[in-house]
Amino acid sequence: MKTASAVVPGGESTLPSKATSKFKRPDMLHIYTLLVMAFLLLPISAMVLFGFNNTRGRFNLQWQGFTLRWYRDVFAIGQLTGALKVSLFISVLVMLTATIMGTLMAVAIQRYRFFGKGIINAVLVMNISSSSVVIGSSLLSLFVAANVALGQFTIFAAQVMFSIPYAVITIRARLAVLDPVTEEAAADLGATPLKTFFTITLPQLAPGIFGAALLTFALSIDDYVITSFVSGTTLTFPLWVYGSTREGTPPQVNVIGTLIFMIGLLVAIGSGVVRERRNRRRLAVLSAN
Amino acid sequence: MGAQVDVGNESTSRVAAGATDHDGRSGHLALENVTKRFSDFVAVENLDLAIRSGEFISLLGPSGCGKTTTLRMLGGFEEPTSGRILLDGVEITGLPPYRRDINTVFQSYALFPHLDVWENIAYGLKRKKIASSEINTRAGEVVELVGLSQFTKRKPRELSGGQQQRVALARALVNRPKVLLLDEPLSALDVKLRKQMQLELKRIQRDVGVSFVFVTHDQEEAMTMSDRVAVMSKGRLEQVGSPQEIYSRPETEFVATFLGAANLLRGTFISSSAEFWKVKLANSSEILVPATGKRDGVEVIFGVRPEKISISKPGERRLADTTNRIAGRVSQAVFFGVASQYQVVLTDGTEVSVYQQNFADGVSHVAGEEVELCWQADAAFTL
Repeated sequence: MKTASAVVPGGESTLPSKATSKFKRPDMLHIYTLLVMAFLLLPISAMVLFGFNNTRGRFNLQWQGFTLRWYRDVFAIGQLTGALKVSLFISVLVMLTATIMGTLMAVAIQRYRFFGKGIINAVLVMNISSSSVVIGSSLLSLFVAANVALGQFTIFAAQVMFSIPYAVITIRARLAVLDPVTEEAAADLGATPLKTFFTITLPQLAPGIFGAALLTFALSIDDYVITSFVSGTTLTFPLWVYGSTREGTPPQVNVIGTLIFMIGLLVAIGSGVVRERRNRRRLAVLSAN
Repeated sequence: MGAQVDVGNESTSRVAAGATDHDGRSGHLALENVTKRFSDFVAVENLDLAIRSGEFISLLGPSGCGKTTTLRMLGGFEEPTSGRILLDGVEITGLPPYRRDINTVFQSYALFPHLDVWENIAYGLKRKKIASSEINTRAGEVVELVGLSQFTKRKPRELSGGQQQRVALARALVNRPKVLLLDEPLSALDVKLRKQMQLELKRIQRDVGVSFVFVTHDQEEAMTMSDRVAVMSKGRLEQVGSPQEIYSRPETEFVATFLGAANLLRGTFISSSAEFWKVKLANSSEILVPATGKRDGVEVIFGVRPEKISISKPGERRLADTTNRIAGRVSQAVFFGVASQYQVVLTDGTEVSVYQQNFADGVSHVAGEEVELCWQADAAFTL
């Protein structure tokens, strides 16, 4: 090594400079990536930060010092807590209903040929691409015309309707990568179609179903536009928050928002850790062979 | 019952024999005039095939010949368009896979990825509501049989290709099927492992005594492993017989050329004796061919495998009466190491290929050399 660098005069300087340049000069891609991440994280950071804001007036717009009292008093506003309870109740029901229906639809569409399959596919896409405002207002006319009392049931029905396509798409993506021959193998080993579905198809679909459940829950607990049309006098969390903006949104809203965000984050990190651990175990076992 | 057999050298022979199968006569499978059409495509046409109990039979043919469709009809994954399938004399056409005493080793193995090796193997027994103590005994036996004892807690993705293959085999065998179907089970393995698994599959088949129906497109694999080979082409059964029979006495041009190389020659019938026909070739040399083929008028088509022909300098050999001899000129000599291949052009322009072991260094004859080709009359086959 020593002789080589001594013999070639240029060789000595070119190598180190190349190595350091990587750290010294961040390229455009790095800057761009950081900017995008900042853009995405800024609203969330503001939400988290203002949950710790020691506000005195009605408005939570200026930083006035750090406090944890909003966390202590998170359920102090009765109406807000009530709205949150309604939201959680409806969202859990929507999640269960939309995920179960979505799973069955996904399996039907992905695995079988039947009359009306094309129409169902088209309706799913149309559902996603339609304007929420238009859907909301037409649902309102529908419910009024059909004489259905507006309230928790109509919110539930509307939210199930717009959540199903997302559940179907998520689960179909999982189904597409499953080996359909495993189902034939189950039949070959004596399993009836029903037994095959519960012992072979469903367990393999679990990650997709889990994803669909999270997604439909998030869509449901978050929805404002469609819900606002069909809610009648019922208040959900987003409806209450929107209504509160005129007289000043209390910091508890930031706290609740932060908590919901943290739960989502934990779920995401948790599933990442599980996947990583499984991969590592697989690699370890295979390399030990 | 197999579960109570003590663990000894003989125990494996009964692992898959089942409670009622001791007479060894079950596992007889018959296809009667089976046809399968997919809209306008005929995948299998008028197939008649009897699979004997306890035999290792291969369905051999190029891709698209209908061998896999045939296997899927046996397993219950496809229904024949017409015809019947009988297992031990009982019609099973129309029965779903889960009502057939037949198990399958799939080409892709199709192991259940969310279950470990043990759970994969016990899956079929659980569906049959077999007592858990017996599940343990039987699963334990097959795990031993395929040599996977240390791996029972692993998930399929944590196994190598060869190990996955064994799990697939164990998972099927543990059910003591009357017939085991294998759909190109070795095609995903590398050559070395493949050779090893061929021998092992054959050993396991002999040990458990179950009829194996083995689908393959590899003629060498079919010949090494099978008791009988059923050659298929374009949805039709070409010929069924022992590996020696179909190799040495092919009945159709397809069988002759699909199983190794063959020189197919034409001649004119002159006369016949008890064993042989005398045939005149285009170059007017007269030779003897076995009197076994169909003779359509005076034209006779016959074949000789390249390794059955010996090549020598003219007049070098003393010959028996039943040996054919024709003259030719070497057009090409290719050295392979263990043997050489010679292309020899007869005086009428027909090209014949000959393999000969390399007794000396390099090729024994060079291009342009006049040679004599000799073969025993009964080493040829008449189509």
